[in-house]
Amino acid sequence: MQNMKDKQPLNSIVRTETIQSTILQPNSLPPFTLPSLNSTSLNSTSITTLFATLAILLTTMPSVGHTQTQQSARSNAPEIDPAVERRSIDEFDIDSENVEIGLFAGVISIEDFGSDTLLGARIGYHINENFFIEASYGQSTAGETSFEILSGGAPFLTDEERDYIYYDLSVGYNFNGEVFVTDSLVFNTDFFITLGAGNTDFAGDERFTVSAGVGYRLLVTDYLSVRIDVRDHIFNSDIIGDEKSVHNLSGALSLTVFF
Amino acid sequence: MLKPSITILLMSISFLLLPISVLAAELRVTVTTPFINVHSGPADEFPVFHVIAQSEKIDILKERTGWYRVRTVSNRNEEIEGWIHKDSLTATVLPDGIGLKPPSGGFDQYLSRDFEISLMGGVLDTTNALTLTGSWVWNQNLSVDASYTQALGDFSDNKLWSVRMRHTFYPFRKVSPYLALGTGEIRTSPNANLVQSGDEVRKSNSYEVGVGVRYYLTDGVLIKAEYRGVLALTDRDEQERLDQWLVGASIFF
Repeated sequence: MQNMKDKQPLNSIVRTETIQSTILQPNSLPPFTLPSLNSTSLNSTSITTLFATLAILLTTMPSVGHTQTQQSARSNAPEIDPAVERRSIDEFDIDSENVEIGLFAGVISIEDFGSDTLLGARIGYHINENFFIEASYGQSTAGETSFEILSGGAPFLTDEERDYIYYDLSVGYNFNGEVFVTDSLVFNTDFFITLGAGNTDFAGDERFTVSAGVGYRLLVTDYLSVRIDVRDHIFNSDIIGDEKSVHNLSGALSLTVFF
Repeated sequence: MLKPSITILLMSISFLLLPISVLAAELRVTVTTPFINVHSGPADEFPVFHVIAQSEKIDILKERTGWYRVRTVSNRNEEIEGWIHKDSLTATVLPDGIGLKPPSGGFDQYLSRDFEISLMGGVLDTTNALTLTGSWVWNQNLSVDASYTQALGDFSDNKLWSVRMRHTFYPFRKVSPYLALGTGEIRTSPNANLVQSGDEVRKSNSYEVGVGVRYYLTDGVLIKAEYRGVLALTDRDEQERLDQWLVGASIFF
């Protein structure tokens, strides 16, 4: 049994990284110094040095990443002894938690119609460590355009047409991480990007909608997460005059559970 | 002194609870290799914060995307919970000395699937279309699809649903063509800004034929590309043919 202090495999990985980056530091190039950055006139040599250093760093990064994967893959895949009789884990009642379900509340800015409260729900399925798919449903009620408010004239839309309802299906990619609140309080997190398509029912019509977004998931426990999602919902609209593509940005706070 | 009825009630409650506690019993295994890495989260990216040494015991609590949450006791008698990769399970044995076999997660798992869910995007004639399909896998060759498509255009909205039979020609290969035949319904409604005559929805029955290719990409994901020819049986004299081109991905269970 080894405890936290002498975790041999992790230390060895870190050490390899440091050695690699020291070796690959270019000796021929002039050392990159901070004052040259601060001076108002950046001369061309320092910029070249900057780019050269960046390029070298970028090219060496994959090789460092590669060593790391190799190491962990080796430790994760022990040799299988064919002589040992095996029983499938599926025979045991191990809970699989790949489905994420939750509710969200936030604000959506409906182009030309102001910002309004957004409420909705989502259900997702995590395919592997990084990819997930997700279906979302949200609803809001659009406000008045500035023209309607200023002119005091006839409204563009009836109350029913102001209901903004959307649903979409997205594919997401998680960048796994951790957040250190204090020394001992650590949460697993995911920064993720999503891309999806769906339907928006607004102003009496249904519109094909593309959505793209970023989000941050903080796992309070293994199965409970708090999420922040920012998404852009894009569709073509001719509600106000000529057809244009409208961007409806939404920001929402979700509470989701894995089961 | 408890009344007999309360005793019976308590007994029946404990009887009801019994199967639950049996189900909740965790799987305890012993490590057979020199060590197993324990990660702080269910992904390779999360750091290794603990190492379980040979002959130590671990309880397997739950699974997420090929990672297992385990509990073990450190040599300071602290309880430690973390995540191990499914492949690490092959380095453990059950109390009776039998090894554990993790789910392969590969093509084998695909062959033993029961359901598929596909999400595809493309064009229906000239309109963007989105298709969601649920499939029940009958056998390796045949499956039954229930499909819903919506194509929201500038002038009208089309919504199609269909039920169809799909035949996969080479189910044991990673790439295989398939053919599908089905029937369904098309609902067409003109957009509000063009027609002010109210909700005039046209419904027509349809037949469809689909030709496509599926490719087993990796860990539980399939890629599909498909052409669908949809024949709408309209009330008018001539029938209407719609061409749909789709590309998308499927997951399976």
